[in-house]
Order: sequence, then structure tokens, then C-alpha cells
Amino acid sequence: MKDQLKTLVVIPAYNEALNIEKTITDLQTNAPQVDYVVINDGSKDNTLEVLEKNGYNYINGFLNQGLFGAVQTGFKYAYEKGYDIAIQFDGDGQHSAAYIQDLVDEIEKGSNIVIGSRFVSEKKPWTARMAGSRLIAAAIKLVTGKTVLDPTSGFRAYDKACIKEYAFDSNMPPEPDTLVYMYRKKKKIKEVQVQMSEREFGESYLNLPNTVKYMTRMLVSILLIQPFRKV
Amino acid sequence: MGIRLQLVFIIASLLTFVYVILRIRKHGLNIEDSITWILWSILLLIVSFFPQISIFVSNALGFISPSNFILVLFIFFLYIMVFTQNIEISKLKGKQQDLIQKLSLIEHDQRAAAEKASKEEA
Repeated sequence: MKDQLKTLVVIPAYNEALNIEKTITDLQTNAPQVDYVVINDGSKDNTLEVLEKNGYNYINGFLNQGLFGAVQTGFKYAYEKGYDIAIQFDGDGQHSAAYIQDLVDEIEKGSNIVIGSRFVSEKKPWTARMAGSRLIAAAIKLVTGKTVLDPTSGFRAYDKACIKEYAFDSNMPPEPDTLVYMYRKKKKIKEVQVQMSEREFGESYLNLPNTVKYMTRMLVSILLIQPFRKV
Repeated sequence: MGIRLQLVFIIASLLTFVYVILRIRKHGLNIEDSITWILWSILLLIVSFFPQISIFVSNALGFISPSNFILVLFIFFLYIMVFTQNIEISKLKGKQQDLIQKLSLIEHDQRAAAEKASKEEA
């Protein structure tokens, strides 16, 4: 195996008892070259038992912090352990570990952030679900002039400098809006084509009532906050 | 609404808007919490540039004057803000309590383990 950068896959898990085994098995079979850590985000189901039973590498966040807090815990861990690359990976089986190497390769080629994107070589469908994605992409384009094909993708790789940035800034949720800030910091952001599947069990973080809140937050942040932040 | 009052209103809401943005820029407020304030200051800007909006709504709802309506609007906004802040504080209290308890338990376990180890040594 070739000498490669130390990579950590960060998997936030909130009530993912039914999905997490599949996710980790996928990781162990399709990306055995990288390390992983599961962050249990104060799950109310038996996620913790499942993690313990299987002897997975996990951090037990005993209170619910939300997605951002859980991912940030993982980034702090990555920073402390000296990882070169951190990859944000959903615990619900949406993301496929087979693409991890593609993301790592792009970081090695010199990108700072690599987004596992659904729409590089494939067209974005005109569904209601994607309307939000288009709106966010348009806002990012307006502010930075850059095109992000899949801004809402939660499958991303970050290099060492970005890990530090995301780990210690309380205003850096790994969401589309902070991409604007990273562009302003002259970071190189690249997208690679991946396939994603629908989640099998349980509810997504982003359920329907939260969508309006999420969109408002993203648009206000992209248009009115990120462009004015100190770089 | 007189032109002078409108001017005061425009300047005040512009200053509010700039102040909010500046504070966020200096990391005074996290993005999550600043959204409400930004939306509110945008609303104030719109209303001060187009007072017809508040005049129309105030007439439609039966207020004696638009300024009354604006006063009520402010009080309502502040009321909601105080209420949501209170909810937030309650949540934080609960989480802080959980954290203290969890840490005390961990400290207890560590102390017990250390005592056990020192006894074994002796």
C-alpha cells in the first residue's frame, strides 16, 4: 500500500442504532486504509450499546449537541491525534465508503476541501428537494462567484489547516455557508462525483419542519454574514 | 408619519443593522443566534423606507395610528425574544447540571481507582 496521509473518518451518530453497523462494515471493507471515529451525539436509542458491543472506536458525547457539535468533537479529536485529513461521513448509510479514497486523492493533489458531490458528472434533478440546493448554490455564486454543484452534501474531506479551523471556531459548522468563508480565505475547494443512497432507517437531522429554518439560516448567513466576516 | 420621524427611523434602523453586522464580524455573536437580529433589522429597514406598509397594516388591523402599531410590534418582538431566551436558559441550566453530575461521578470513580491502586502498592 502506498504511503498516504493519515486520514480520519468522522461519523456523527444520533439515534443510528439501526444504521451504524452497516456504515462501519462498509468502511471496514471498502476503506480499510483509513481510521474512523463514531461520535455518539447523546442518542436516546441503543446506539451506544451497539458501538460498545462491536468494539468500534467511538467517543460518547453524553449530551445531544446537534450535528455541528458532534462533528466538531470529531475534528477536535482529529486535531489532537495529528491527522492530516478529516472526512465528514454520515452514520446513516447515505454515504459510500468506496469514494473515500477519491476524496483523499484530491486532498493529496493540493485541494483544501473536497466535497463528495452528487452532481459533478450527473445532472441535478428538478425536484422540490433540490430547489433548496439550487437556492443555496445561487447565493454562494452571487457572493463568491464560485460554482458549488452540491453545496448541501455532508460528505466532505478537509486538510490539516481546515481541521484546525473547523475544530476551534464556534462559528464554523460544516455547512454550505462556511464554504463562502473558506473561499474568502482563498482555500481550494474541489468536488468529486459520488453516489449517495437514501437512508434506510430513522429520521434525518434535517426533517421537514427544520427545512425552512435551515434555508433561512443558510441564506442569511451566505448573503449577510459570511461576506462580512473577518478573514 | 412625518418626514422627520421617518428620517429618524431610517437612520436608527441603518445603525442597528450595521451594529449587528459589526458585532457578528467581531465574533460577538454566533451565527445561529444572529439570524433573528439580522432579519429583524432588515424588517425595520424595509418598514422605515416604506412607511406605507405599516400605515396599511395598522389601518387594516384598526390601530389608531401607525406609531401605535409599530410600538406594539416592537413589544411583541421583545416579548417573544425574552421568552425564547428563557427557554434557552432553561435548557442550558439542565445541560450544565447534567455535565456537573457526570463530571463529579467521573471524579469519584477516578479517586476510588487511585485509592485502590495506592492500597495495592502498600
